[in-house]
Amino acid sequence: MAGPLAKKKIVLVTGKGGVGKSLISFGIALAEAKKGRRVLLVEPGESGYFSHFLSRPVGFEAVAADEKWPNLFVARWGGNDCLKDYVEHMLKVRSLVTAFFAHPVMQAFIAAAPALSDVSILGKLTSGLRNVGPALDFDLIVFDAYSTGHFLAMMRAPLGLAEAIQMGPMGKQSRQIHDVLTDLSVCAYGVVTLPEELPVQESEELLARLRGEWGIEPFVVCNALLPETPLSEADEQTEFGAYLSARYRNQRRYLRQIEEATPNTFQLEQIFENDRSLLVEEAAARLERAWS
Amino acid sequence: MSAGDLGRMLEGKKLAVCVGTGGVGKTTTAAALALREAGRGKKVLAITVDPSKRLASTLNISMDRSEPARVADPELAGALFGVTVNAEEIFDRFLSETMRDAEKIERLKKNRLYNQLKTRLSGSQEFTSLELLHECVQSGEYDLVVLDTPPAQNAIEFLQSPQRLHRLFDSSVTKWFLQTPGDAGFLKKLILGGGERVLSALETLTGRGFIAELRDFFQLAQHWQQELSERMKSVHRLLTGTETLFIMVTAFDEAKLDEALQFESELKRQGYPFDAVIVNRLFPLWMECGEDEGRFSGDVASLHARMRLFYGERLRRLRRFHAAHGGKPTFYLPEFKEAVSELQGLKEVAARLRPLAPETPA
Repeated sequence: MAGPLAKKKIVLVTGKGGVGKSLISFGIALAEAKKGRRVLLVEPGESGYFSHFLSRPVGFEAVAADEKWPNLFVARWGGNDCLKDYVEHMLKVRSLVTAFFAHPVMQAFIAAAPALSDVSILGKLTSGLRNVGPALDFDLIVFDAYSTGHFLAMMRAPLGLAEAIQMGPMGKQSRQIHDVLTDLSVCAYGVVTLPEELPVQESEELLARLRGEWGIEPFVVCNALLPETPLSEADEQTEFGAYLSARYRNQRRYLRQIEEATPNTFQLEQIFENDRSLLVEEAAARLERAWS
Repeated sequence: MSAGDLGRMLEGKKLAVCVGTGGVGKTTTAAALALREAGRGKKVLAITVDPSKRLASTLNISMDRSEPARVADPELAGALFGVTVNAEEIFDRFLSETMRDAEKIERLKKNRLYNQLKTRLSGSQEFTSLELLHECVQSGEYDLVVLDTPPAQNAIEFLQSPQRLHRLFDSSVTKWFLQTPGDAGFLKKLILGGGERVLSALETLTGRGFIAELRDFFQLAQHWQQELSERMKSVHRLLTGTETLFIMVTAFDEAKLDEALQFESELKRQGYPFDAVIVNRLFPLWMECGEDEGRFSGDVASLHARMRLFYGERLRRLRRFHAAHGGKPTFYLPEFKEAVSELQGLKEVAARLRPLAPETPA
């Protein structure tokens, strides 16, 4: 059965910091890769979490994540790298590009032009669908986006840039980037949350923004649930029992709250596994079960 | 025993900087540390970034104004103040201090680029945090300032933001925007290519109007360059001084710990004193109770066993990691049953801070 990603080419995953975005993104990417789709898992920005996760360097050029997972590739797209990619494509004179980039005026422009870095990354993400730039030969791109605040700023960046730069190809392309991102036949959005007060609150606000500003209807993954186990009276007297009680209470309440905000909510139990490889395999398997 | 060693580390320090990525509990931890030191008789200021509404309310922080306000707690031997970074307000304040010309300030405020820049220029949120820090430390009012930093992906960027801002308006850059046609220098440039060609390439990409606005902005911005330069030096001196303590807050996640290690060496390389790590939410509180499986009924017992194994392994991995990497002072905090945002909760957090004991040899 089709999950929220059927026929989509891009899925962007966001959520409050610390809820497990990167793990879920990885799980989603792996689940789709196991179905035979050629998947690219991407993290934006300068800091490379996946390098540490995979204990191998992950850079601008996509590399296979691990030999045991054919079809799964991973990359890190920094703002500067993406912009260079774009400029190389636009100006077509490759030899000048490095000097061009190093020039203080260009550096000043990059720093000064609003959200240029973010738009460059989104430009790269949507380049396949817009037929601009080097080919992106993947069936699906899973974008492990920034957490809520920066994610929203990033989503607003293309039109913000287009407003500042009204004429010229950069303005036009920024608008095109926006159009692709809001085309829900090809783009899916996932919000990861925990069954806790602040994450659910933030998710609700995020849902309202995504719907209100762009008509986007994301799916939600509620992470780290505990299987409900009946507690005896004696259990309730223990510290562990009290902990479970409190956690079940919260879980029930906040899961219900997020389900009221959107019926597209998938549940994921907490995975008690320290080994990274096993952890993502388990996450992928459970996500696949959740939306089959 | 509570955070004895960390308390000792804070003796004689005027500034504690909490760094780390988003979602690890940095703001709460910074607030807890500040409260603890206030409890020991110091006059402490907690500078927070993006606190939750509840925490802001607890710390008497107004989200609209960047003015420190005192937290009412009769139990405190010292005093605790809270403030948050309102970037726009601080940037405007900085502006009126450095550009005394009212007409220029008006022109700048109308400049579209400046308006986008204020909140979104890479470095402006970081810059305004450091600017606020500068103001507060400069006042000499507090025994200790605890600085919560923006959850930068890469906290080094945060620390170098005044530098980056300064480089942006460096004369080597602004000169390209200040030359007017007919100027001998301009012609020379035209002949040599370089800046003018870049500008014209940019015009091709962005259109004429944008470049004009960019030029105007840079002309105005040169007025704050001198002040920015002074600030930068002052803040850098403060951050690398002996009266500053750097604390990294992280969650337990081996990938994050590896990242923290990389971050640490980068910080050291740049001359920042990186002193301690706090690993947050390492395991739930009940783990410390040592309750026996036998106490629980069927399914509860197996859940208990599974979770104990999982969290026990975490602690082991942390100890191994710690031993393998030079054993920087490392502390940990358990995961509390509910999110912490009240004074009592913050006091409990401070009381539960434990140093990581070395792994006992087999």
